[in-house]
Amino acid sequence: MKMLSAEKDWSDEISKIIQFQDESSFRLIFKHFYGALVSFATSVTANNELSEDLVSDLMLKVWIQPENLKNVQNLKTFLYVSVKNRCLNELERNKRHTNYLNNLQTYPLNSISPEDEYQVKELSHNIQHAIQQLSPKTKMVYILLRDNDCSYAEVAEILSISPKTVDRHLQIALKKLRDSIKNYLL
Amino acid sequence: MHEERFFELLHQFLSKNLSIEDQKELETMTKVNPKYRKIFEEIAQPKQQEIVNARIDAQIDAVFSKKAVDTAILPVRSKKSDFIKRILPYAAVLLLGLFMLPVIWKKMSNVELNEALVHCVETKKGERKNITLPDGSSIWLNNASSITYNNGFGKENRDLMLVGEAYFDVASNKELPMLITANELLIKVVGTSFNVRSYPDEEIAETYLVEGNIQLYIQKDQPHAQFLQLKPGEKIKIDQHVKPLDALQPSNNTASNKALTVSRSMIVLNPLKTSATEIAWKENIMAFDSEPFEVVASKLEKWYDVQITITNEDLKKMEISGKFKESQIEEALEVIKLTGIDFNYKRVNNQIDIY
Repeated sequence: MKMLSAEKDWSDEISKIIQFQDESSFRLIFKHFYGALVSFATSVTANNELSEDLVSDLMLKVWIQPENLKNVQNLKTFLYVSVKNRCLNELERNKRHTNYLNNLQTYPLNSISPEDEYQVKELSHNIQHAIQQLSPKTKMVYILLRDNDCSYAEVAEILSISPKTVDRHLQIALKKLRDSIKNYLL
Repeated sequence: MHEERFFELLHQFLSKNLSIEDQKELETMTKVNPKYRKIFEEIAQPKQQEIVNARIDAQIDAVFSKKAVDTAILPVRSKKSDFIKRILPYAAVLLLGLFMLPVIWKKMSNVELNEALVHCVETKKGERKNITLPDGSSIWLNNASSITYNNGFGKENRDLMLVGEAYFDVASNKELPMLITANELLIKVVGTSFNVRSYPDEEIAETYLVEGNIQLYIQKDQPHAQFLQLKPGEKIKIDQHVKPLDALQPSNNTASNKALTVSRSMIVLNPLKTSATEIAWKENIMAFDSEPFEVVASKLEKWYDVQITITNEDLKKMEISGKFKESQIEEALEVIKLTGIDFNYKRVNNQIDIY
């Protein structure tokens, strides 16, 4: 089981980037957040390539105009909010081109187990499918908690909802996932 | 039987709320039952796409090389903001002087004309003030607002009138409750901190209570005035549907034509935030909580004293969250852009077009 690590405060790196355009500080931030942000974005957009573009573009803005970070109180939640907004806007745009549903089908299934058992495959597949079917907000809550090492308070801030609502979304997510593997649990 | 408990533990695990005993229990369950282990792996274990280091390095280099192209444009921008920074202090003194003029003038004319000696403090767009009243209460007055009270304030009465938005920190005095009139609202206070927002051009009036308790009367002139008691942390929103014509007429029963919708909500304070969105303005911070761009624009207008027109209908509906502490409207717009709202703007004097 993974232990919770204290969240790093990036203010030193940020001020170095603002003052000296320090490349190594930027590299640190980029490496720390890039993979996690792309994963989160992919869970929303169901499109890996697009998600990488969205995150790279955000990081580019951070590098070009670091002054904008001066007033950011929490880099982590700021980056997640930015990625969330970009994703939702992208979805909004895509909806009109009906790309979204097609993308859902081609979304690669993560980490299929090495075991070859049919049942296990089905379990994994059913859960993946159930995750896809969650409403966007519930899915974001679930993914932020599971994959992005976020606390309730952070998820609440990122999605502008109350911690109580975060808990309700998690409850809904788990109920749906549980329903999807009913047969397996019998 | 076990299943229920197992999913409960998964919930605790995901919410990072797992006690040491719970953790042991979960470990045992997943060890003993391979089904549970598999489900735990699928549902609760973090899954992140593996991105090879080399690929990340390539991405970073791409950012650096793009930057090299963009710097050609940048110096112009920063020179300009340097200039603004240099003249800003002088401009601020000048502006302050200008803003004070009408207030001073109004006070002087009041001395001459009005026996009751009415005091009025007002702020222009883009201006905020902290006032201490004769009774020791302190008031933060937000932009484009005013409070009015008469000479007996603090001795015979504690009545005042508010237009716009203010945060009140009321000095305690049980014998002399403070009565605040704001459009359709009458608020009765003994000693407490709270925020009132009631601009004539906005349909929604809000009262947010930080501590203490207050009584709120809605449609104060009506015989069956509604009465609400607020608890700390509670916010009352009143949709006033102001009709411009009615507002101009004297008070002969026009209020009864207005449809008032009252909604009550609890503000859950986020432990990461120092204060609620509702009162961030008094620390010179603009805060938005999933508000449509349209509404944000009207708040920006009052804050920075500009005119904003959004021409793109889609943009108006986009929701914005975040906190800003920017001295220039352009900086605030850049931050909004950075959070992922895709738009362009053009500024000519005080008119800003967003498209």
